[in-house]
Amino acid sequence: MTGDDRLTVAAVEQTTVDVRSYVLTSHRPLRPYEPGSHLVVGLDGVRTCYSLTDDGTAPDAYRISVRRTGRGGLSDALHDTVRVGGQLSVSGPRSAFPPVPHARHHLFVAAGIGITPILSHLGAARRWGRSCSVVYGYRSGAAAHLELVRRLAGADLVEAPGRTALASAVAEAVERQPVGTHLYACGPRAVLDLVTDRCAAAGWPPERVHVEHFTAPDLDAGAPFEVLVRSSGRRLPVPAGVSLLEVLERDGVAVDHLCRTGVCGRCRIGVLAGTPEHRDLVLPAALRDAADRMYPCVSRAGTAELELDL
Amino acid sequence: MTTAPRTPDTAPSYATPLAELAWPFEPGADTYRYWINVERGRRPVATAAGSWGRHVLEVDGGYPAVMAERTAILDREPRRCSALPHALPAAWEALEFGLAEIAPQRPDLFRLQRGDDGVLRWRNDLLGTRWSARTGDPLVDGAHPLAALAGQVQEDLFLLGPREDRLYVDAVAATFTGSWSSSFSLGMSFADLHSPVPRIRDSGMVDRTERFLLSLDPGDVYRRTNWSIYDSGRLDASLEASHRRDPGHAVRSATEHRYGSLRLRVELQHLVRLPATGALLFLIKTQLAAFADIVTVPQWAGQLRSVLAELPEDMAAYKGFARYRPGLLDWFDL
Ligand code: HEM
Repeated sequence: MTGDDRLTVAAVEQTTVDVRSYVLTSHRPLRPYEPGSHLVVGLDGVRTCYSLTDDGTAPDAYRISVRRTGRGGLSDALHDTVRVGGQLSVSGPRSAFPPVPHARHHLFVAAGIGITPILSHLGAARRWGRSCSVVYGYRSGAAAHLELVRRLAGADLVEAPGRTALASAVAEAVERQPVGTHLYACGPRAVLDLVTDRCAAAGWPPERVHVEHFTAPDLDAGAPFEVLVRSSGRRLPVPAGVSLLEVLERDGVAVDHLCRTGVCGRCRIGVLAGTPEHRDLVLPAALRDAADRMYPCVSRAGTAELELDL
Repeated sequence: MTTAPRTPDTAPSYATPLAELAWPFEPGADTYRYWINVERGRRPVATAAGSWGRHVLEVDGGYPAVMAERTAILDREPRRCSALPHALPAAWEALEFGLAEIAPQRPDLFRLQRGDDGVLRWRNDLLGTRWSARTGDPLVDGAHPLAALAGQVQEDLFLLGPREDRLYVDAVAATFTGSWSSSFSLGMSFADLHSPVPRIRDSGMVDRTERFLLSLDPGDVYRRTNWSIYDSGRLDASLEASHRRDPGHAVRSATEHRYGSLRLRVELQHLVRLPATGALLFLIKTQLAAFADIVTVPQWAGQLRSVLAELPEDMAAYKGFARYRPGLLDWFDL
């Protein structure tokens, strides 16, 4: 599922005062996903990522939980406009916060709505019998999925109502962890900073500390530009999010290609004027500035226009 | 002039029907070099003799013979399947993926069912296999889930997992590799696996390939081919099996061989990014075709001769025919 898909809102549940959980289904089978994955939800041209809360092994639905921020934006729009039976346009799931399977122990730290990917990790850890413990910081009375977390984590849960309690729970957990533990944290910026500082102070290797920010993914659609095809003299616009290769193909310009991901080098074309922005993995370091060639499946333009030797 | 090995080689000879052969040379190309020849999978490709590539795992006409040999090898040498403990979820995902891939190809023989109770049931009437298991069980019908899959499919199976941005072999179930040891590869890094290959280690190609593999999206399926030349139709050309062969055989046959019975050994390789575990499933289907058969397809005969004639010496040595190249080229020209 790489392009956008339309999913049906099968249920909406008020999880806490300001968090709603959405159950999204499809008539087609839903692709499994790695724990900690997110769905990119689009509404009126705005796209935001929401963590999926199940373990992802055999999903019957995609479940996300959305907190109303009160600042407008997509999350508030979802609260205001999405009803059961409605449709949502999504892409993904994408995985950017996966578990490390060979870890000896998994320490999960969640603050606030940051519980969503941690819930997914916790479910997977339980499914596969991985050793884990959870620190969950929340505002009293506003802890999303608390009952489920308690049920799954059992004695391996430390609850921290309030920032001070969370800081000391994190400090203690970080000090106590055995060699080979990996830590996964999701929450607001300040909490993530706290976690990474604590880990650094306790001598954790940075590769064992995984944090998930609440930020949009790097969709990297690139800026729009234009190309001039030398043989035909045609000028073609390349919109953001569309590859030059696709634009050429649509215009009937045959470009030999294979991988479409910038590794095989097959689609190389010559550039006569303008500067390409190389995004491939083919050009060696010494040629990263080359202006006479490019791989149009991924690369774009550093100038407003490129003239192509086609 | 026939080859007469000193010790009897009982391994059966295998021949892939030409109509199913994944011809490894680009249409029209008369040379061959290593490059990252990857393309998306599940698309049939027409060749001069037929087509290939519709499925990721494919049950073809050779299934009964190949499975008989695989079963014999696995019974004799269970260590051909091995896995690191943390690979269990990925092995399970591979098992479910693989069975779901082959089940619809032969509904007369296979039956895959997931009960409402969550139990997975598998039946293979050709091999007489019948088991039920729950996702996550450490053993399926007495075997590791990856070994259980190997017992039902023709392909060799490898699971690679990322660790700090490098790929490592986490599980192996393979009986038909070329001249290397799959069991020895357990735990090895992608870079170390490729270190014996001339040309590619210092070219940056291994690094680029690894970055490509790490950047695959969940569910992506890519494929590539690889080829070499062997002197027999034995599927199991692995180092594990080398003690079963006469050590002088390869060298002697190089001079005495009737070139028509040399085999083009094609590996059709698929790479699948398993979505639920992020592991990389690497599949190799080994195909074998005798030169005498290949030259019945005129386009193939001409192309193969050109490629073999032009290939640089170090690659020809790695591909297994440098020693007898002049005689072989003469044979093509007969
Ligand atoms: C896109 C992915 C890959 C590329 C481009 C690639 C490339 C190559 C090339 C060019 C060779 C030399 C083959 C020859 O001339 O006979 C080779 C050999 C080898 N590769 Fe890969 N490889 C890939 C994936 C893998 C993976 C996933 C494994 C993991 C098991 C692997 C294991 C090996 C081994 C063990 C050899 C040496 C054995 C032999 O000669 O057949 N490769 N590879």
